[in-house]
Amino acid sequence: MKNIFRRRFPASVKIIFIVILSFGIIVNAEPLAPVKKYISTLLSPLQFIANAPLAMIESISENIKFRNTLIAENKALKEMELKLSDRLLRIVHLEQENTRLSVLLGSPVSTTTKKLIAKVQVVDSDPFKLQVIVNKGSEDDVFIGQSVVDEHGVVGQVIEVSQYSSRILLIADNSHAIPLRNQRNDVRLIGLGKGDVHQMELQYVTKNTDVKIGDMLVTSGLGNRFPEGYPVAKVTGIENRSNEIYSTIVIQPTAKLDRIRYVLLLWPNTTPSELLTLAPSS
Amino acid sequence: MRHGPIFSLAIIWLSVICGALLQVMPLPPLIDEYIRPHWMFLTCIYWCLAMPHRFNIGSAWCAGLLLDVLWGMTFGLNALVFGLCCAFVTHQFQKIRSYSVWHQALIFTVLVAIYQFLTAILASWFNNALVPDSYYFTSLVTLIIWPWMFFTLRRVRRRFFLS
Repeated sequence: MKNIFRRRFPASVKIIFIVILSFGIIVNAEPLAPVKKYISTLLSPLQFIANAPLAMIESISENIKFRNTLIAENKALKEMELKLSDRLLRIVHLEQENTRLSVLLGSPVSTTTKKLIAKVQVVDSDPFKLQVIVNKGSEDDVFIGQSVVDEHGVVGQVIEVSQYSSRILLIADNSHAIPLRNQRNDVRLIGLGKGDVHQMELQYVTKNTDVKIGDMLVTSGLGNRFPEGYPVAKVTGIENRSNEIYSTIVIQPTAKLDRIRYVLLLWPNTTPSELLTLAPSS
Repeated sequence: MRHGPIFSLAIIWLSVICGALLQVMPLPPLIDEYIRPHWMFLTCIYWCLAMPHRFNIGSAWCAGLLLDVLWGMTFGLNALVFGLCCAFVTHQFQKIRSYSVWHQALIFTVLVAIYQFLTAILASWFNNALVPDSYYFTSLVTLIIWPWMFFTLRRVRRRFFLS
């Protein structure tokens, strides 16, 4: 017979203990980050296994594509490559010119050198957060706060890194804000996530600020988190209420946040000191 | 054939890991949002109900911690709520065990809703989380999934002679 009285501690002691322990852990999240990283590295095989069925279905559907589809895809890609390489030729020239001009002005030039493509793992996560997991981790020098983009625009930033995977907080998350610049007139703005992948908001925009529907907003590079000049969102709605100081402006992220498959991790490379020495001493 | 306590614990934790696997399995967004049961939580509840001397508050707390890491939630948040909900089950296990499976399913549906409510409260307290509209809907799935889960895990328990 099972002995139900063989408990070492009464339940009340245990409950009080776990409550204190949990609150202790929640409050000390910062010093305990290495522990969390260690556990999540241990658990990363679990995420790979959980993702395996989907990966398999994907590879099967990739393998049994029809010949016509492949030919059409190939043609489209070749056309796009031609267009892009044409633009690239001009960009190289413009970049050089831009660097020379900024050196003349004595302003620092920030460029991103290293880039890495990461695949998004579609595993379920925190119902309150907009985040994705990618298959690159501290082994590939991913770091916390790193900016992540895809082919359409900024996706988010890295918030947690384990050995082989990392977690990315999307720009549309409730707790995320991103410094922006209006491409049309260089007005600085702040884009605030609202927990909806299709919509964000501009914060603290006075009614007389020049913002129009259709304006393209790019990263301003302020805050030293996101590199300058990446497209983030388009203005889709402006509402002015008479009893409020600020206007309510709705923007739509250019990146398809609900269907990202591959993302690009960027490494910043700021070398202002080198460039300043190149500047003419006047 | 009887095994030692280590073997029982190994099987129990294996089932919890399986629950974790089902919990993070990618599913189409609609299914994911509305009808993904809380596998890990229900597994913990079953073991608290069936073998409270092997799996109780402390173990449930550890399982919650695993889920925190898997989900990327605030570290310790799920752990706390897991511990509290399983404390209720271990306190009442003799009463709940004697009920029919459907009666149990009803009780645990409410318990899952309470679990979700506590998590939402704590999450919005610590990092002002936004609770999606469909959030509480997933607790209703417990009603259907619990009998199946109960019989499956009971078969596991009897097959391996866990005690």
